[in-house]
Amino acid sequence: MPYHHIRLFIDDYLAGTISETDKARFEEILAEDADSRQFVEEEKRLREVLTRDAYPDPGERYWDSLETSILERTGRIPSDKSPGKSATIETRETHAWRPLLALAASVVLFTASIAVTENVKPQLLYTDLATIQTITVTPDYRETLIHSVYGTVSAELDLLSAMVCSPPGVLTERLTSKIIDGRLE
Amino acid sequence: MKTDLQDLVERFIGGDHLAFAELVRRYKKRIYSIAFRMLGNHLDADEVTQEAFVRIYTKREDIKSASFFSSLLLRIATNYAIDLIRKKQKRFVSIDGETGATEAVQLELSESQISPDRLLENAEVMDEIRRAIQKLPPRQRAAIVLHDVEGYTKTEVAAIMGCPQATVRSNLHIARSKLKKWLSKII
Repeated sequence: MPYHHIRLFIDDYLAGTISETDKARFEEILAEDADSRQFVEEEKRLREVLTRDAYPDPGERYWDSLETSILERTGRIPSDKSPGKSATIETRETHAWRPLLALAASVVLFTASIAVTENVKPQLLYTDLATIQTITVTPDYRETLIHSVYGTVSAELDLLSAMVCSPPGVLTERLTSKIIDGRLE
Repeated sequence: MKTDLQDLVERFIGGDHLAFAELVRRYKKRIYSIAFRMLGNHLDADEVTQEAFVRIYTKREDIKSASFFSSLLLRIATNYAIDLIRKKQKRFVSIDGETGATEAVQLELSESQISPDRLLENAEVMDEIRRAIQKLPPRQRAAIVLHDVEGYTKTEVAAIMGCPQATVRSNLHIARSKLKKWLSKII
């Protein structure tokens, strides 16, 4: 076990910033204590190893694109006019609304598919309803989704909305199947 | 008399776009280097570097002086890297239960019996050293990278990490003990 003085001043000693008084005491201990000597050698070696670990330089092209990317993100360069645009990594704060955006896109696509297809398969509609039931959003928002998706095709819109806004369960599933089958057949 | 850096930072705070571009040019490699050493891969280092500059841009009115600029930039980058490490660790642990990384590093290193000088020239061993650094908890890792690798003083590291010097000293001591144990065949 190295002396406390050794552990306390090891950084200053190796960096050459230790005071003369502390250095004298430091070296006095080193001369008489093998554990302390071994400790200093290991510390020295560890620092050598760590400082020789150069990070791989990604190259000038990367540095230029990194700079461009930062300036774009801070609005210093219009993104459509900048040369050599690198892949921009979005800030993590934007992640919260991503699922909702994806969901909204799915709703639009699904609505479009209904508009162009007269014979919607019951299973597809059923699966989609079940998915919407599991979405963790407020009932109002879920209802809006239902209106967006089924507003143009459902004759039983109010009942369907009420069911989908309720928690998923066997009864809801059975009723949903019945309505969908009855309406689409 | 104002230094070149003071002038740049003051112009940046005042909204000079060219000054900001120049600061990005000057500091990008330093930030990337710290981020790469803390996270061990290019993608994360790139993300940390970009975020650090974007965030300091939005906080430019909080910068009190030129010397505060680099300290704040490094603090933002280090904290972001620490957060990223923690998020990754959470994901990793949730899959495997625990990392078991310490033993893995030790085992791989103990199988190697080449002389220390030869080992240092070996890219695979350098990779092991990086991996060993990355097994450290986030704050110990930050302290080691900033102090032992990048050469910042304890006072500077304390300012960057926003903690007392005694905490930095303690983090360094624990981190070095672990690294010495894990890399015993090299050092």
